[in-house]
Amino acid sequence: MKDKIQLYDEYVNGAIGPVKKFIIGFLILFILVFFMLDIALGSVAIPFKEIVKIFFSSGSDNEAWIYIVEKIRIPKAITAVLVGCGLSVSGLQMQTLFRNPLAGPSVLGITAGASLGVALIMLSAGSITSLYTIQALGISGSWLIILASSAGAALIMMIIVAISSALRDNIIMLIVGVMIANITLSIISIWQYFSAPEQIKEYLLWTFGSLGGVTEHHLQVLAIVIVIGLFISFASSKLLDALLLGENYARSMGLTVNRARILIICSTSILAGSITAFCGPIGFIGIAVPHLARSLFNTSNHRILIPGCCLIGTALMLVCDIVSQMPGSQTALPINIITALIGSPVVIWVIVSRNNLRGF
Amino acid sequence: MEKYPLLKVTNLSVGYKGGSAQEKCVAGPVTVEMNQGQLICLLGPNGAGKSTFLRTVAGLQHALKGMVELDGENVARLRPSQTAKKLSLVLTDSVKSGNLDVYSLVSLGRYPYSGWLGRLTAEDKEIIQWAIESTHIEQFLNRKVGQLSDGECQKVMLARALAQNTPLIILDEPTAHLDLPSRIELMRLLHQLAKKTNKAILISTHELDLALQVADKIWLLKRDGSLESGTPEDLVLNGIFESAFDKAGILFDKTTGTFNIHQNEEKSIYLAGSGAAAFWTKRALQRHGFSISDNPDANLLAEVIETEEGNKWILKKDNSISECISIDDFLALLKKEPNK
Repeated sequence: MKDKIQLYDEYVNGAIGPVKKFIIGFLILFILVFFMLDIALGSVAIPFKEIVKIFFSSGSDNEAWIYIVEKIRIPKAITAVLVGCGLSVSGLQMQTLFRNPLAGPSVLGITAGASLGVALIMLSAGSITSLYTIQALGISGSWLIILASSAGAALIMMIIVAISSALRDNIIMLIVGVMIANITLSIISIWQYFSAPEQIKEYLLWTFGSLGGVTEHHLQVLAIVIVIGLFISFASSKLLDALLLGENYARSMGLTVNRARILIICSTSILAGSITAFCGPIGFIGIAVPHLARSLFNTSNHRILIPGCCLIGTALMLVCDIVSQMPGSQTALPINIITALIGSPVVIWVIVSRNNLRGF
Repeated sequence: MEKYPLLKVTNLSVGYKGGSAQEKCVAGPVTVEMNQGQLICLLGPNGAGKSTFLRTVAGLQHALKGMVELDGENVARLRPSQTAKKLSLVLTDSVKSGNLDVYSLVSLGRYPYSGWLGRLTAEDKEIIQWAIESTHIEQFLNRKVGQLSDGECQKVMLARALAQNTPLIILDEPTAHLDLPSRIELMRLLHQLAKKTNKAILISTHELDLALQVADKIWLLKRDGSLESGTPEDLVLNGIFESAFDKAGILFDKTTGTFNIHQNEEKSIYLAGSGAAAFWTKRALQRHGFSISDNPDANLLAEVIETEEGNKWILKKDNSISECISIDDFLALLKKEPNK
């Protein structure tokens, strides 16, 4: 019996057994292969040999190929990695904080809040214009967008936290979250209504989501912000573990609940807000990946789940990006369509599988 | 040498601050003390404010008035991290969440002691192991919390509280939703823990008879918000126990320590005999509106005889003697009697 307890102890204490080592190894290999594939595949066919050459020595006979790989495909693949990590970790944090298996940045209107933040900045700047114009402002502009969208996301998140502490019902909270998202979106619609048709078109394209809109220097800003957000999340993994039992138990175990909440709201808003600002509202990754991580790693320990979400989220985003390019054809589908196609079945699986919904 | 009490509650009023200046006082003012190694049961009718009282003592809720001192320190002034090393809780909140397995849940009890990432030391592991063994939950360590029965879940939550290793453990209605064997098992476990570990254990419960058996002291929260504290036996004998649960149609029987729901006895009967058969015959008679008389000259005389072949009931009335072999027949016989 003592041995058995010891065994569980190791399992909980973050020690990673052979099965998990295999899963992690497989995921890393998968990510490396698909990262290369993501760079190699696209509407312009470039021989794989040339890709490898450009990637490792930045030299090729064809100038256009160098430009495509270095300025478009590599930034896009890195963006996919950042988006995969950021959205899935923010989803995990929300599911734990609200103790709701259906929580996620897109479901509860956090991404809508981020869009609102971005829209408000444009209105106050006086020029009713599209996001791409602001992105053209350069680095200072990208910090401004991140700040505005994170603030918008945090605002919605705080409203939902306030409502959720008054209502203890998962379903009611979900409905309220959806309604708040609707209010936010209708405010944006009013802004759209008074805009010129071509701007609406650009906005609509933005709402489809795109990993390709992040240029090199925006990417630096995005990367810094995501890494900071992920670090805060990982540092608060102990707080998240305690919150699994609900706020009363968390407090009885010595957690200063309000401080923990603020920390979690901050990192979630930074992650979801900055990604939404640059890539548009990308759905389903945030809600689906945490469930995949939980069942794949079979744990509730956030010290394992957060890196696990990063790995699975990255792998999934790379796959989505490759599929959205429709390799071999000239067209590319919006990324949001692909994430919904892959993410929705996971959400359905969560709802249908009795264990997951009741066991949450 | 005078011992300073572990928990000291002084003039405590509990309730809710509703809206602006409105205060809804649920119970109080209460002044009580609790020592190491004591098991105290907080009893009281529904709505008397037991949960609110416990939540306030635990510092989850602000007191309206008064003070709670734990180990000589005011709970309201302690940071959550300090309180967590002095008192642990088992609440009625649902914990069936987030893919949590039993071992992880118990090890969360070490939360106040572990570092910023929650890594457990060898000492932590030993305490967790001790908590698991003391509550006998070894056989479902690998299960998810969602797969536990209510009784198992309470034991797991108790193990978590033990792992927190605090001098005081507070349990809010731990026996609710449990079947009778699980209730008795849990109460016995708590009693043993208080004696063995010298921890103070405070529980609120509706199990009056179990509380009377295991509690060192009973805190009786009455409907008017006042609290009576005393040894269970004293509270029974001086009638306080009875008055707290006074409701029409319910009578507390001091001689047996149970509540009696039949009080409209019309006919009296004398019952001779002893043992289990006599006890259950008495219960059946009471249910059918008979009072048991001490007078052997009563109109109705009954006798229970335990024989080798089984039990025999003999009913004598006005010199007519009848005999039967089950309580059912005996009752049928009694009902027929007036028509004769």
